Amino acid sequence: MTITQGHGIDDDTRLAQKYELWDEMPEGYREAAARIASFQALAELVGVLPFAEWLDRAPDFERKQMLAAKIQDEVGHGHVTARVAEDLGVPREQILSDFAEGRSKLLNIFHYRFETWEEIGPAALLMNSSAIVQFQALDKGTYLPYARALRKIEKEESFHYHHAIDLTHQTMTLGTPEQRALAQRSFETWLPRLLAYFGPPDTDTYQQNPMYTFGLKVKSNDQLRQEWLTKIVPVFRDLGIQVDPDLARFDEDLQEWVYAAPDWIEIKRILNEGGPMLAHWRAHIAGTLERNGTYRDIALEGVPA
Amino acid sequence: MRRGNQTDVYDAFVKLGDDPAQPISWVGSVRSGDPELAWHAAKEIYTRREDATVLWVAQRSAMVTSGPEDLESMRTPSRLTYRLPGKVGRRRRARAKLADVQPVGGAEA
Repeated sequence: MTITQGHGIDDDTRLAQKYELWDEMPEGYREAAARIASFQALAELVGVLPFAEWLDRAPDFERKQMLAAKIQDEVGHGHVTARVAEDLGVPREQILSDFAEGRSKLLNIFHYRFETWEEIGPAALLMNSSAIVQFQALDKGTYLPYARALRKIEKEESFHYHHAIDLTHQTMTLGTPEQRALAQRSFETWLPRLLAYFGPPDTDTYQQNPMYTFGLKVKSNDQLRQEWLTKIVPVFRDLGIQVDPDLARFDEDLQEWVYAAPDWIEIKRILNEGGPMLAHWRAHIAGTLERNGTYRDIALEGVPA
Repeated sequence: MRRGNQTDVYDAFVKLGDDPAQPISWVGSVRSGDPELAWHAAKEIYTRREDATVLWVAQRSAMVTSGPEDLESMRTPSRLTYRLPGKVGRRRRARAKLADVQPVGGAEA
């Protein structure tokens, strides 16, 4: 596998025809665009929960402010992407109730929680950097309302990225040996999860995937994974995290990253049956939907007579 | 052309940055049951990282928006050529040629 060079985004014919909400779309396009936007809305809203539960345990006030800002940002991203999905006919209530009632799947990386404060920095850094690589490709996609939403989201992700670097830097510079070991372990735990986040290795037929032919998916899983490793591994090295060559190394002969393949069978099991925290997040979302239901109905439909 | 039909959707328009000459642009939408709350939601969601100097929200059901069927009627230059400087410039040059005098005003686009 090589990264396709010279297959530039600018001259990719798949991406030439763009669509607005009111345009006529090819058969299946509207549903595909709604699926990608509602999937992201759910990921933003559930993906914030592992961070939110650390808000009252942040070690100092400034850190708490920054964590609160990140959490607010992510909920805003949920709102913006849910609006894109709603305009295409998928109500946000459905996005949340489908999840709460077990009808939709969640990205593999959100099936966990952070066991320690020290785990958050490296994990968040891996998550943010991979999201940025994903979004920078997806924002060249053909559905313009979604592309615009992503460009807004990217500006805020950049803050999250630098916040995660700062958090990891603090642990690695001022932390005790135990704390540094926790950060190191976090990197080793989360790297394979994020490698899996980009999706299974490219098949020979990925270019026939409708998401790809519609130009909603812009780059292949392997392309994105390689770009991400190129970007993020040096950042971790600079922070003082050891990157075991067995986990990921750049092969000069192949001119690409070679990495320990994620356990795809386990990843598939988690996506289908749920990881350690799925039931907990589901119950949380279900509880929130129920608790806020009355207020939401009054706000959106007026006070019942 | 059609009327919006969602009373709980508000479209948000902002002007960002220091340059007062920038246009006010549509940035996205929020859902709210109340116009003032819609404005606050738009402020929290769409002006998080850049200074905004203008923020408007408009209820989508109060807006009239164009559709693909309106494209032709909005395409002024090809439809209304008699409004364009090139059209009258050509007329003037043709007339000058007939009268064998220098045209006034030089070549037009």
